[in-house]
Amino acid sequence: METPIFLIKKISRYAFLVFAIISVNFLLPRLMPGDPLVFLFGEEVYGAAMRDPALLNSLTAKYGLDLPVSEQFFVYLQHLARGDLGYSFSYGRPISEIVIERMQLTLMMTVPSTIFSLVIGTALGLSLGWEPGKLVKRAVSAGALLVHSVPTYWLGMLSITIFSLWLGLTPVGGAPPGGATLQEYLSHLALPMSVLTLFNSAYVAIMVRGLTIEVSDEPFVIAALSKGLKPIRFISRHLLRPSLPPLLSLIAIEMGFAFSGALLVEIVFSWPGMGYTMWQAVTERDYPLLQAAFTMVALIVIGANAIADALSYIVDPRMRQA
Amino acid sequence: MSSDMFGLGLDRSNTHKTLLSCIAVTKRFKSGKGSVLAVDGISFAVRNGEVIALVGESGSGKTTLAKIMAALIPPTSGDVYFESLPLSSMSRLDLMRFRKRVQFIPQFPDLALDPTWYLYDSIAEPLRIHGMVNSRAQELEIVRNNSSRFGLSIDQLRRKPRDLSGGEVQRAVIARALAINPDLVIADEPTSMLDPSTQAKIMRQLLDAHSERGFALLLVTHDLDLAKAVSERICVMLKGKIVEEGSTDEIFSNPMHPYTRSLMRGEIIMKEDDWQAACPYYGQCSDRLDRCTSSYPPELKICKERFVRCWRVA
Amino acid sequence: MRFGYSPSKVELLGIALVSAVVTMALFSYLPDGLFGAPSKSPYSPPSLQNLLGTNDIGEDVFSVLLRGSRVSLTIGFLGAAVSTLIGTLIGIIAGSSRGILDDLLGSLTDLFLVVPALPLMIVLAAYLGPSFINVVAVIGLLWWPTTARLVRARARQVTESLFVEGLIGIGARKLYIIFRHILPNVLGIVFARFVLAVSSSILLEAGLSFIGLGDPQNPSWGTMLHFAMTRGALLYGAWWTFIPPGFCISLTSLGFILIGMGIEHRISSGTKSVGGFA
Repeated sequence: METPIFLIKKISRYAFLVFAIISVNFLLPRLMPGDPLVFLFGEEVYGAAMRDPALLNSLTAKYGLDLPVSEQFFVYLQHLARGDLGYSFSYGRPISEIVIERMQLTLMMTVPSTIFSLVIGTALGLSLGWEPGKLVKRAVSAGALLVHSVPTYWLGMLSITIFSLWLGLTPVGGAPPGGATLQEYLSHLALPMSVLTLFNSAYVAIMVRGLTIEVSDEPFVIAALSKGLKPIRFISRHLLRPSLPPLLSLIAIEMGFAFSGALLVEIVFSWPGMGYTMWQAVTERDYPLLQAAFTMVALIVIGANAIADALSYIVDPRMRQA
Repeated sequence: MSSDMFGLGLDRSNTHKTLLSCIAVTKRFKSGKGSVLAVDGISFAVRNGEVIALVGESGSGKTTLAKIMAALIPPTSGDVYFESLPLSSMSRLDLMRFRKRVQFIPQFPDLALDPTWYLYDSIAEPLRIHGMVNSRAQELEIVRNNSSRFGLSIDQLRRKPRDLSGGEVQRAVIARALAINPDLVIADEPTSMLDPSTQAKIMRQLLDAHSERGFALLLVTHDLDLAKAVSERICVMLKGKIVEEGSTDEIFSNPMHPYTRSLMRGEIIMKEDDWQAACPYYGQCSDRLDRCTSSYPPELKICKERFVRCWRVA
Repeated sequence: MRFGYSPSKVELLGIALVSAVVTMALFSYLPDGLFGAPSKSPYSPPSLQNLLGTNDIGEDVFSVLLRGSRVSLTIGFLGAAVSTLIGTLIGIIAGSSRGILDDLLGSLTDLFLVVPALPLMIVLAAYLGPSFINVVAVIGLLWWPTTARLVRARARQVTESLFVEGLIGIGARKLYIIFRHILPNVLGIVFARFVLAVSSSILLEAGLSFIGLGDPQNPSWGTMLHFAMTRGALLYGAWWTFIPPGFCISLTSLGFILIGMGIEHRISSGTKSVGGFA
């Protein structure tokens, strides 16, 4: 009965989020201190345009920069609808091409890593939260906290030193050339993905451990145990199922973290995904590229949130009344 | 509109003046499905200096009515008049004056005071808010007087609520209400959460303060014996309506509503029933008539200051 | 009054870690060259002259590490202070209001919770330019939503408790109630969040500096990692230039997390959250 209202609310919330991100993308370069043209063109093009009035005029006309801000926004939306994110001077290519290509490389690393860390982290978290007082489990929990406090990129630097430089097991970094075999891809991805997975499973394990401890204090759990239910069946029936919805929203947040972590890991391993692209854009002051990369990352994270929301909606009908 | 038309004001004012009155007050709470009518068109008055008891079982709407009269929650319709000034059209300043002169004592001592504040500061707080003291010495004097009257020591005033018992906190709540010398104290079951010996002691101290300072006391209670012992007048409330009102002596010598009688026999029984009758007591009434299902009786004036709502009496 | 505050083992470990870093920061005020003179040769490995070797421009790594601790801690504290202040204000106003104000601030908080913080920080910091103040501002302005959400929930709970109704009854005004009564009641959570935010903002600062958005005048641990990465120390195998700063970042962040979790646990043994990422 109340389902449609709930759905409409959720959908409009995500629509608003997307709109907000797009607006922020439009407003940021115009609100920052300094000449907005630097941020709109990127430093190199800005310098060229300052020397060449003709170039300045053509760029101004293209982005409609002589128009009032409201109309500029409209022009911006038109460009966006056509998939035109502007031109990157540092790559000499349209930004949309770069971003789509790089996003695939980032997803190639983050999606499997997220799935692995959810499986590993959930299993680890459940076992750590079950009778959490044991010395071994407390030590492992402390270890998970420590891993979670370690910067991912530093972990990456350590692993390059050990596995690539000292042991010579993996390539130092970069992505294999086009047309490479799966094996080549795996050899390049092994280290960054392991680092990312280690970090993210630690995070998931900490959260799931907390949830498990909370749930196992509840009366129904104590009642179920006193009836002599076997721990394995008990865990699947009474721990995993009720904690699925919070787990799903955890996944959504986790995607955000996974992305942030991945961005920095990519830099260390020169894996040319979104993070590496953002880094290069920062170094080259290629602001249009930086901003497009941010927008894509934000949209993907919002998308992950929406999927997690939809899944918990399917899993738990009670959510529909919320 | 004068309160006269409800027979509340002029004809009774020969001895006392009306201090606080409510006229046709209704409160509807939204709940999951539909709404609940907690207070259903109640009119009655509290006069200067009297002790009046509002008696009813839990769920009768008495706490809601008390909070409406203390201006803590707004009524859905109807209005509350303080010295003939309606609450709904009071200015900020008027409302401030009202807050200074009318004090509310809640039922539950847990969390009735800010857990992070020392008792002393909580008791002194209304004095500070209303700018009633000029110096720390004067404040200390007033707080100490009001606290020691209720048996709170200086040492206890230096503690926070969690380090005190429920009874001690409730004493502080009462001391705070009395510290600013109000004209009316609305006490919602002030002692019901405490153990019996503490109950009697605190009630005695509250009544002593009443006779000494002459403030009016509206005592909300489920306990008819308590009402009999302390109040001059009694209103019996049932399902959001006042079914009988009169002086304590008359109600006890001649209870007219069947519900009042069963309360007196100690049969505390109001349960949910499926009767869709106009009179909420129909389902359990031993004296019911056919017309009780179709229409609810109006307030029948028996004599001066004596009302009952029952077709049997009519 | 109660004075019997005895820290748990977890908190003790956290306090020990944090004290160690604070001591490092204090040592950095001693005259330069006390712990190792700058050597002429870059990338010289650890020796008796240079306990942790030298970096790409021949500076003593140990001295740079000490100065870095000062920068990382200062930015950690300032960033956490700004974000906690913003989060507390937004949370307390939303939690003690009803209707539009609450809805508005609630949606704003949700919005910022979903938008990935680090990428947005990178964009903002790139626009504002690398400076000490900008790093603090970027962290402070974007790391408040979790605090705001938790403070809002607690403030809502306090607002609905009986004593607030009592305060209305004695004539207290809304702002008075918020600042004199609701604020003291949420301070416990605010303090726990602050300590956890210090951990987060040390990690965030390190991340931003690693990308090259830190203040070049005040090199932090993250800046050390940045130079190790961009000036070849990593591929040269000069592990002594990047292992110590990363180690320090991890242990400092862990120290604050442990203290913060201890405080959170003390307040309520219910919900736990971890305020950090890298």
